[in-house]
Amino acid sequence: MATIQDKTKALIASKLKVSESEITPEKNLFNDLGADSLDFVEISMMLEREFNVKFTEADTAAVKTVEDLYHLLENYTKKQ
Amino acid sequence: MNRDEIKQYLPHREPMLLVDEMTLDENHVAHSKYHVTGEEFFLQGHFPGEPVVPGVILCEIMAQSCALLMKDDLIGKLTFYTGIDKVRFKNSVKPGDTVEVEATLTYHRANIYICSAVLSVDGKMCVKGELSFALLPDTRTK
Repeated sequence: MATIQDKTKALIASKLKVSESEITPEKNLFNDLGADSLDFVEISMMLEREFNVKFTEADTAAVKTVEDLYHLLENYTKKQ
Repeated sequence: MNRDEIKQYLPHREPMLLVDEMTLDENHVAHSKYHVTGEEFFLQGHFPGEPVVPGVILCEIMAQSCALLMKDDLIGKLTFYTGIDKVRFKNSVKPGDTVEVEATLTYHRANIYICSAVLSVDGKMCVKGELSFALLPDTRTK
């Protein structure tokens, strides 16, 4: 069964056209993986749909790294 | 909302203001119209003797209709395209046609807005697509 991290990594890889092996927790989505603001909004939208959650503006504004996204999703899915 | 009212929200002006009227329904779907008079600058060379509204202009008509979905956020801002996705052109638009656009906000995060739009003439779909925008501060001197 795919974990939150597996699904998130696959989604980021598909959106940013990078290999999943490049997507490690400490990587900055913008500086290291090349996301721009629209990419990030689209990733947020896809994650919300995938995990059936709704992020707040403050939560997504604080996301910088892949690990930040993992933590955010883990917190949201725990609440479900 | 008529053309003068639209100007209170959209920063576009002639000859690039491409929405004549707009209504917003209870489901927050924008319905807008633009009548192609045949006098528009973009028809002059596209094509001589066979005027057809360019596809990029049809995208712009859809974009302006989408922007009116977030009209209250437009005050003091300029709208910039950030992306155009899944655009398909099905039928051409010619002088005398009244274009109708149905636009829906799909997603909004910070200053980025993602919308879907369908443009038709007499109920026949001409273009559909997903458009995204950023709203940035309007720094022009008044």
